Amino acid sequence: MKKIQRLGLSLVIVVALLLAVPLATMADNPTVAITVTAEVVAITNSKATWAIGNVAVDAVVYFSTDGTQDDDWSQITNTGSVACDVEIQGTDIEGGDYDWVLAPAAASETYSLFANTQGAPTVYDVGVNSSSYNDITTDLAADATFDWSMKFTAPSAFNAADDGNEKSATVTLVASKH
Amino acid sequence: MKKKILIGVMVVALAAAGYFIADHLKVHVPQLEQGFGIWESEMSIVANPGGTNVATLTIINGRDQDRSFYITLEQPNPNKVPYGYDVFPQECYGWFTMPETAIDITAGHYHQLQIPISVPYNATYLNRNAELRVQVTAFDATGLVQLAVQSRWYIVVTETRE
Repeated sequence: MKKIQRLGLSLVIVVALLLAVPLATMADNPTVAITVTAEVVAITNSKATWAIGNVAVDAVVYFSTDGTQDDDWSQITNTGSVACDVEIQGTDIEGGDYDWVLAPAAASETYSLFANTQGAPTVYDVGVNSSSYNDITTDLAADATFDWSMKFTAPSAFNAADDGNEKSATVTLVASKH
Repeated sequence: MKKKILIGVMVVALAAAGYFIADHLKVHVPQLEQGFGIWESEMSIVANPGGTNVATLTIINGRDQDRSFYITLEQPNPNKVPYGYDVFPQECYGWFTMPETAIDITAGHYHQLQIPISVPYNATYLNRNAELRVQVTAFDATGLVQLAVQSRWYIVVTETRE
């Protein structure tokens, strides 16, 4: 009978120790308290590449397969568990002998990039810039989608000494909890 | 016979208790079919000078493909921080030690970053509330459009020194 009592006592001690582990962890380092909201923030986007091809000065090209303004939009899907905002940021176009600077208006050796917030792109009203993120859509519900596009305007003048080699840039879409 | 039954009952009870506790301690990270994400959408941090702790950031990679990520601290748009909050100052980024700034995750897996937080005892940024973003960017050499997700960290810095 004593064996059984000891076994029972051991059982109680083991369970108590197991329960104490998380409590001890919580009590450790109490001077920086962290509270986490566990929700998934995630998005996908249907189109990743855009081959603009050769462009003339002041050329306007859209983020569609044939470069024209049509209904060949890219689509963002909120694959997370919480509503999110999606912001956009671009970079200068680099490559060859001379880079093209990203700016609100095209100029010599300077290009512009605009995105839309309409969900069915007709108006390109979001200036894409390289120094900060701008909203492309806000409060996009979980599982919801958003159609978007971009409008590229080539520089108004190219440096005649440029070697004509391929140039490239990156656009980043950033999602965060609304 | 009764002793054996009692011992058997205790063993079963112990196993059940162990399973129950282990299941509660286990991390049940959600999975994604496509794309990638983070699990900790927001984090509230109350910090005292001299205090330390470790924050966990879980990066979830979808089942569709392997991905490479880099992790950065970013300032939020000043127009989007909550009322009464600052943009967390860049000169205080040293409070956070990023264990990895680039990481590869295979399809369908997740990775948990353990980010130590250590507020200097002589910190001068005190009695302020600030927002910081921790950004996870997936990079692909062939893509024009790359995707990133951010965890919003709300940091309350008190004056109480430990």
